[in-house]
Amino acid sequence: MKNFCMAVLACLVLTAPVAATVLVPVDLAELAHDATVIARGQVVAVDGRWTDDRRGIETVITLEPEAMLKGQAGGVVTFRVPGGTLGRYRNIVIGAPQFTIGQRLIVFLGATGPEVPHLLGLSQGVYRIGTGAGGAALVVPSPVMPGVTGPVVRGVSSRQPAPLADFERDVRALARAER
Amino acid sequence: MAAVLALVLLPGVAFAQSAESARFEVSGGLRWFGPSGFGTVAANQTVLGGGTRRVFSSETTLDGSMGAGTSVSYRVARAVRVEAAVAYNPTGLSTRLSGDVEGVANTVARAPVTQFLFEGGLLVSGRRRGPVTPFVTGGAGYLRQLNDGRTLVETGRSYFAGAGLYYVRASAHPRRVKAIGARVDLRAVFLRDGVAPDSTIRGVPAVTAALFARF
Amino acid sequence: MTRVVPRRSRLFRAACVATLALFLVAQPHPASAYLKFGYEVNATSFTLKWRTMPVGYYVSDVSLPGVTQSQFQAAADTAFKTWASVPTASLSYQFMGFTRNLPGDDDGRTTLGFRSEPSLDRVLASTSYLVDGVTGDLVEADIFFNSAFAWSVAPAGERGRWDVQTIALHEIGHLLGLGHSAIGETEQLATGGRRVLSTGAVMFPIALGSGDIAGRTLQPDDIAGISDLYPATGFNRETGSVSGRVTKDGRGIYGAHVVAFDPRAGEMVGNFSLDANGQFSIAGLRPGPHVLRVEPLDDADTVSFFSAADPTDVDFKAAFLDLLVIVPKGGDSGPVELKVVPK
Repeated sequence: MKNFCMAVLACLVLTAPVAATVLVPVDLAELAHDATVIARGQVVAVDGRWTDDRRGIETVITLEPEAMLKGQAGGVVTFRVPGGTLGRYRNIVIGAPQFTIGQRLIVFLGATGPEVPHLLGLSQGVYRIGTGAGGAALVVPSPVMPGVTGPVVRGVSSRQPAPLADFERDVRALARAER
Repeated sequence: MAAVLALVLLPGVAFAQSAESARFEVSGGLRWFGPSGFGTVAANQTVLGGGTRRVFSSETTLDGSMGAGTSVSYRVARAVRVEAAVAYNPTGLSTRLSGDVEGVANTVARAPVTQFLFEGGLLVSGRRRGPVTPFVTGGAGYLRQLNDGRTLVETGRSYFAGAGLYYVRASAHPRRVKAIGARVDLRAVFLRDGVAPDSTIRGVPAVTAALFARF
Repeated sequence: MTRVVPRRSRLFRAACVATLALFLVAQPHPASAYLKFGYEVNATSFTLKWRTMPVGYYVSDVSLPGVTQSQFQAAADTAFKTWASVPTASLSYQFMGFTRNLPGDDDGRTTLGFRSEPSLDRVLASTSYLVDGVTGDLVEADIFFNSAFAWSVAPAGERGRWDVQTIALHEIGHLLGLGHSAIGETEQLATGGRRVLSTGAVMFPIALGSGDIAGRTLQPDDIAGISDLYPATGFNRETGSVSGRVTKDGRGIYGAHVVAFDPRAGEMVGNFSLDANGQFSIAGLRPGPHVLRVEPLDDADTVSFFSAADPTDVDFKAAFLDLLVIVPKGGDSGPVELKVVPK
């Protein structure tokens, strides 16, 4: 239980709803279908930079991929999120996920043309990986799965971390499925 | 209570005229206050379209309690007394929580409340029958309810109406105390404000049993 | 002359870059909390709020089908007015004019407006701040409304279109410094995704739905938050707070959602335990008895509420406290302990 608690403390999962900003909720099937790249990896760099039009600040995150669940990647996977720090100024975009070097993630990325890919659905396109009892890799909390209906109840025992292997199996299946 | 029983069981003593003529009366004893319900208040959230959805319900009550009281009265006419009284009741607020949409178990949340009633009124005696004299009473008062730790004082008003019985015995020392006895009364007390959620006047029953002495 | 949303240009803005390049690097560390955002600059903590009034704002000179920039400005102004009209809060605002710049441009101006941003495909609207990493000052705050969605300013709302005033009210809450509220219930749909069943705050992070205008009205949780951030004279004297700890097995837990319910008025105000000791504090409450309810944020994007580095604990059951907490006028209840158990 202690290890589980530590795992919960160690990982944060961004599941379908919300973010500070007002989002349109999306389930895992939509994310898997719409993503051009789905990758699991570890954050190796977090860099603030100007946006292409030099009008704002964004952050580019570099992942060292461990597995590609959809699409192909070169040696690294990069994606961008709005906001970040550059020079004297910090641009804080409420709801934009934050990253630190060393974090293990699963990311759902979309791309528009030759630009650096972006997270689908902003914070909804990131799942964080932690460690549970016995060292099992977990994705927390449970993702919004298609076909599951009814009120979302906080605090029930069924809301448990999902094993990473099960999560990736579901993602691969959803990515292949027709919509 | 034992003293009251002793008075009842003692052989009867002739009722002296002095008992009726005594001006001052002091009494002390127990007062029971009935519970007072404040109704149900739902925890509501807004739904699409502007309606509401209940996420849980609450029902709050000021608990019934046993306390103590004391009074002083002065006879202004043959059968009429003006009375001032103080009643102390350690009671409590209880809020029953139920129907939680996320399945949280029903719970009762409680907090102690100390209640003081400062009352003034009239007491009108009826025709005496042996040692027993009926009376009716009515008046108004000031309500003071202290929440747990006296962090918050809530005040209000009270009104009461009731009836009771005196059991009067002549004193063994008529020069100092003209009469002693017991009294019991049942009254309807109407409280306004205090810890209540609104200014609705709520009625509760109250029963007082006390010993008295007349001078 | 109005114009539709332009394609983003990639012109270099020399003047802007030159100005911003003059200053030294700093690393502010943002921390999010429900009522207030905070951040650190050079080891000094700042509450993200406007220190001078009025809050001046610009509106981008951009229209969409069905909503002109003037209509947008009127709806935004109404939303500002809603916050400024809270009797227990003291704040003011001023419309400064239309601008060709877009929200999100780091131009030193607080700008609201429509913008095309394909990389934010499922974002209805978003608020961003520009903070001076040396002084800690809030330089500007922008609100971007995604032009990819259909919008409306109809007084009664329009089905299938998002109400500008409703979304503006939420985002302006962020602009003023409020974080998210977790008072709300959701459900998963057979068609996929999730929708809101009900909310107890305008600052709940998911909108009720397109066409909804119920979100134009502030709720007690929102009012407590804005009043705590910008208190009117007497607010702190006339209200009180509840504080304490959320613990599990004797140890404090971070990130628990605590709601104070007034069983007399039926009002709910919430906050979170925000340190390793499980400390929480809920302010802006009516004096009198309150019920406390605690629950985990195990259905939410916790980063929406807290920093990614914060050790949020979601492994516990929701519960009521079996004590009524008495909130005094102008003071705090005194510490209470909410003990939770693992799932």
